[in-house]
Amino acid sequence: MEPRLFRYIWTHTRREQIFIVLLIAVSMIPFYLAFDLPKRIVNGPLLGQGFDQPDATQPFLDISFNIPFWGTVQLSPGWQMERLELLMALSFTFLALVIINGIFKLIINTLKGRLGERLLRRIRYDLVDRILRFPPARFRQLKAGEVASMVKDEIEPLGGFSGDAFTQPALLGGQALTALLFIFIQHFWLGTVAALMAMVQVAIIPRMRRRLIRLGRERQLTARELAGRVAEIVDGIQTIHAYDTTNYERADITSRLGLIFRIRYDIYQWKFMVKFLNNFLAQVTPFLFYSIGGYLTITGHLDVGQLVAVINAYKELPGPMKELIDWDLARQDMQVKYEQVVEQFESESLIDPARHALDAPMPTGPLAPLVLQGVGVQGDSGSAQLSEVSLEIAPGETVAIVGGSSGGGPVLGEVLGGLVAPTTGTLALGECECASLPESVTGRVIGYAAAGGYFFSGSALDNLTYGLKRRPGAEAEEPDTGRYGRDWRRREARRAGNPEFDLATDWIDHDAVQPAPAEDGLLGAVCTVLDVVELAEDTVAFAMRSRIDMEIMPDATERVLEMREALREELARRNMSNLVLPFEPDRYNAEASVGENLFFGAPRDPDTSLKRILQHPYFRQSLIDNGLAGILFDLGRAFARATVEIFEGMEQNPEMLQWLTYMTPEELPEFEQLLARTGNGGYERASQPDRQRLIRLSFAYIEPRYRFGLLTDELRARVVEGRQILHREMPEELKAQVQRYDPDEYLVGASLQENVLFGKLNRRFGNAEERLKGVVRDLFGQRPELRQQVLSIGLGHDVGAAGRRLSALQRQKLGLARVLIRRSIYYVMNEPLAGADAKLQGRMIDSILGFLGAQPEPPAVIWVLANEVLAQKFRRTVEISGGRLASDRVDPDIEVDESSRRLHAQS
Amino acid sequence: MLIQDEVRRLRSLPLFSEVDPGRLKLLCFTSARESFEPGEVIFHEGDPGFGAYVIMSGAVEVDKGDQQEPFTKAASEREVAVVGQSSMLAEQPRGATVTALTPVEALHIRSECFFKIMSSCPQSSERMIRSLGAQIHDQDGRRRPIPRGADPSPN
Repeated sequence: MEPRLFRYIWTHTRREQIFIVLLIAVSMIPFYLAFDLPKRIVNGPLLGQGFDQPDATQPFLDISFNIPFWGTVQLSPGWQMERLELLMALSFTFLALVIINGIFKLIINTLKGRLGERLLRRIRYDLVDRILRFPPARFRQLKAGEVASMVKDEIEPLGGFSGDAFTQPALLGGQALTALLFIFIQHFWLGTVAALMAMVQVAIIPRMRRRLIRLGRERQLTARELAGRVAEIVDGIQTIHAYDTTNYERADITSRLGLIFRIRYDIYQWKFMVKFLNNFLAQVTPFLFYSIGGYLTITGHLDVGQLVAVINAYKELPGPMKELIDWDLARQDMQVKYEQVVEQFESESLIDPARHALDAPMPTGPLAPLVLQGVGVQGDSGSAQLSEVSLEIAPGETVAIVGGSSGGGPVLGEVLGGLVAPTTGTLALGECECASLPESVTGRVIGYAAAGGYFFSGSALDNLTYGLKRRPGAEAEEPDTGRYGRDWRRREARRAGNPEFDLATDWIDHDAVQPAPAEDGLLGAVCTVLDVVELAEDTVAFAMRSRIDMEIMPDATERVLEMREALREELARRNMSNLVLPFEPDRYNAEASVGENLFFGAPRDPDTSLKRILQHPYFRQSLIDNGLAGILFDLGRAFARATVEIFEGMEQNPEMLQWLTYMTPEELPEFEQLLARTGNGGYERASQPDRQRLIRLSFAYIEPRYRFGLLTDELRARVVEGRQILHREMPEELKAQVQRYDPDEYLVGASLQENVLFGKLNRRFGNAEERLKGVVRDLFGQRPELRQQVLSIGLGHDVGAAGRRLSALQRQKLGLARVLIRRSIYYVMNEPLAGADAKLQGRMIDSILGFLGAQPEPPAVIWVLANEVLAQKFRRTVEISGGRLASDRVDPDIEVDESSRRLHAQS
Repeated sequence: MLIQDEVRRLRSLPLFSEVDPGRLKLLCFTSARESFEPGEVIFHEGDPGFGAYVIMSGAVEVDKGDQQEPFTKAASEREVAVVGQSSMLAEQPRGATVTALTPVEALHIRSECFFKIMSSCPQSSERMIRSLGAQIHDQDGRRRPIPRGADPSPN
């Protein structure tokens, strides 16, 4: 990258800069005219110069020049006007000039801003582009937080500065010189004094500011390190908690903040010192004018008019001078910042952009076999991790690489996957060396999965199909609407040197999808792969827990209702209708709590709990009106008494109090007191808070779960009756928040599971949950389209930052699915299931080998194994020991027989 | 059936006969009532065990595979039966397949709750160990003794 800031700005914004300078030059004309006008208004119409006679007239808009040694040239005589007329004419001219000047300023500032923003966009893109092209080894020392801080913050002021980079000195320099010239014209010697002082200012101040620049550089570095440390704390938070080192981290941050404070405080002290000196120098000149000029005037060498004129002219000088010096400071500051950043993004061995180009040429020869020729890898410590490894692997082969983690197997896997470049020797696909092939070839031909694969925040589907997003798809049929339509986006991208890729198009390479999509399209292939890596059940679980975003899946309602119906039918078919107790408008649901039975609806917004809605005055009043309040009060009392009896004396056992789900441990003694308080008189004599508390407690009661025998048929009937009344007279504002249970309606605020069940799981059934899962599994077996729909909802599950919302095993499986869904010729699996038990690994290897072997053109599978026993599942076993090839055996018992593999895949 | 009845009936089991009634009530509170139809399997041999089932009413068949002839356990008016007890105590997989012969009402005791409640009350656990000892003594010679102590499996 261009190391000099000004060169960089000039190269990319030359045309705009020149245009802006010219525009500024033009804008000077109305600017100076507006300066001159007030004087003419005051002298002419107001003071009456030239209007000595009552009907005297003066010319308006007469244009004439005084050219030295030539005389006056009159271009236009103008109009003759009377005093009042002239006043009005001049005033309106002044107004017009004000408007014209404002418009000029507006245009110039907008242009400058646009130029700056474009340049900022360009430099940020350039930096990220460089990150994408860094050699892999570079990332061992890089801190994500520091890099992010450079791209985002450190470079930001550059945008604002680049607009001023050339225009400001041109403008201010011009103004300062004009003012100086004017002083010279008034009086030569006083002009010389002013010029000398200005030169002193220009010479000394920047020198003093060098220290500021050095401090600025330190500030930048320390702030960047702080950003890096903060990112590190976030990434390593689990380790920090595990070792109880939060205070150590606090100390580290404190010392950094202290250093930053010291530097910043230093900057302030010096900055204001320089400011003081600058102001002082600017004010010394008038002192000289007053004292020396005054002396000359008094002694008669200078007339008063001249001195006043010089002093007046001098007023115009310090402003531009000061701004010019400020600009110079900003320039140096920017230059330092820019150098500091660019330096970090320099690298000798950046990947050639041609290797990333979309239209990189495909080699003509066959890309088989995969050949390693005398490959050696040297570690950071200089020791050889691999040496002299030569191998040839053809498509269709299954190869296990064994030899333990210290043997060099994982390193070999990384070499094959293209993560580590061999120090010696070559890796080649057929005749072509991998290092010279574009990534679009190596990345597609070789699929790589390792245990630590990264996941990007987004949905599971986004991550699963990540490997397919290689090039922008066909143009979306988006009309170029509005100001910021497609054409605008493209044009601006081009102007800032960004590529014109459109993120909104379908990036998925449908030709590379494996297995080749049938009529159910990409989703079918995704579901197949999920089954291969045993991730389908987890995905169904994600779906069941999720709330469907209606904006993303507007047609989900119908599908969910269909599922609800299908589940109901399936349960009926099996004579298990009672497994789920549906919500019925005029029946009490035994497995639902009293509150749920009374309320009989779901909050529309999942964030507002039922409890909060139940606190609404309408509910309270309604309960009192229909007489339920007293009944529920008694129920709550009985419930509290039974609970207190059970947990009596358990206060010392927090482990047991956790089983108490409907009140907190602290509430237990409170309820004990409450029971004593409300002993006589019951509801009628209880205080309002006590009533509320007990009624609210009664809402939590579920007879089959607690079995205190507190519900009678009469009470149930009263609750159902209360439910009808509640809903009949519910005010509109509450209706908007509550959705009454209706078997034909989708519950907006509820999870998919709640929606499909539309009722309560009857726990009276032994192993109820298992049974329901079994029913759902069978239902999915019969109706695969339903399963696909659920999976597609589950695929929308957000995996969180770096996939942290998934378990480690789920991440590993998703990593395998991600590589399997894309067709490759070679699959390199580098201990992708590290840490998983051998049984699971064996099962996964079987299903993956079966799946890949059943493809029309079976690829090669190279699996780095930590567990050597599993190697028997592969036809060929390569042992790497001490970084060298120890043995290379082929097991003749395992045939490369495609038909048997196919059978295997189907089983 | 109410929680009080459950407590009363649990006390008819040797395992719980000497346990403090308050603790027993808490144990019932944390347990779940489940019912099974005739022919339904309550658990399979080899399943991971998460607790014991106290049969409140009905009869079940216990099938230990090759080890032993299948036999029946049933609850009567006065006594209840228990299945899955050894798997709960030893924290091992189920040693038998248990199937409902008649409609069965059972109380599913979770091992986690059982152990927490027992360890919170030394007297109760002491009495329970005694009664277990007596049980083993009875069974000695007739059957293989219940494996002693917990042998935590790696998973």
